[in-house]
Amino acid sequence: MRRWATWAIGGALIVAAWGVALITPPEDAFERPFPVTVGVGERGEGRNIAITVHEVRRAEAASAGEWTAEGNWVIIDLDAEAVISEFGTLLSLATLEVDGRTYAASERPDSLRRGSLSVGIPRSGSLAFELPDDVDPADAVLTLGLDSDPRLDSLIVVPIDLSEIDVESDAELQPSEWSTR
Amino acid sequence: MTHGWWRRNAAALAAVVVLVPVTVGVIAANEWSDWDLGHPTKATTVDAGDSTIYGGATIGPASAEFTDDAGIPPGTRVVHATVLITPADEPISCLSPLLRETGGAQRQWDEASFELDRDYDPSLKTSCDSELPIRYSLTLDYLVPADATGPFALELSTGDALPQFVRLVVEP
Repeated sequence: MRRWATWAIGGALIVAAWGVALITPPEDAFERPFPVTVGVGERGEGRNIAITVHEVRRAEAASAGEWTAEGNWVIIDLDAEAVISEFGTLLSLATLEVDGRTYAASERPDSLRRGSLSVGIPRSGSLAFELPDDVDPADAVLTLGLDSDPRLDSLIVVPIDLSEIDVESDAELQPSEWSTR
Repeated sequence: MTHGWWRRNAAALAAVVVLVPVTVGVIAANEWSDWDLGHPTKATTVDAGDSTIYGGATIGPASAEFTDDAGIPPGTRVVHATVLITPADEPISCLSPLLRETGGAQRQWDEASFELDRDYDPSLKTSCDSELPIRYSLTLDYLVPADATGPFALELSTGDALPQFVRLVVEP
């Protein structure tokens, strides 16, 4: 084989190897979730979960029925339903990511957290997130899913700008009930 | 020369042709049988009005109708279904059947007496009674959205007979 051909083939192989390395998916790609990103007011539908976030509120105190507590609260009002099956359809994953930290929905008030979802029949209610007092949140990401392990299933992801939302003195969670919207 | 090579290795090549598919088949069958063990995967479809023998009992006939119900959310209705269960020698145990749409995305609903706030009535059964050796019927209510128009199938299974299960077609 001619010398120039050897060099050309060698160079081509190196470029090809670089291309393969470039397009190789990362190691966790085979178990990644399937995020569905929507805005506030839009319906996001995944494999077996459909969510519409209607309103985001902030307050210095949250209340639900008899229960009330002061704190740095973010309240999410939403509708949630299942899509194809009611087997194990609880709203088990509800997190709010703020400044690189992930907060789980508070278990203190009665809310849609771990609420049971029906196929095609939305339930409405609220989720409450209690942030540390010294956190003045701006950009946040709400993530909702059916399993506390988010891998390999649909997640509804809602980016929220919390700096635009006025802080009320008190906010009441919506009761969890069949949606009438 | 190439001809000679194929001929010399004929036995080995034949073994490869046989053994590769057999290996794939054995591994696949093994994995699938593990999956089948605990899951209802093999359906016996029973047409509306018919019955079948399953798990030592006669299941069916089943019937269903749409009913209006006070206090259900807007845009929904109730599928009210009954299934006749006739145990033979031994009582049969089962969970509440689930309701599945036979068309479209094959959505499924769980029995909803609890969500519908039904008063408890011990004579109305929503699942098989593992202590009752005589004929009885299951009385089932499913809350479905108005766009679920049927036909539906009631899917009933008992642990002993898995992966077999019964799919009773009902057309409300």
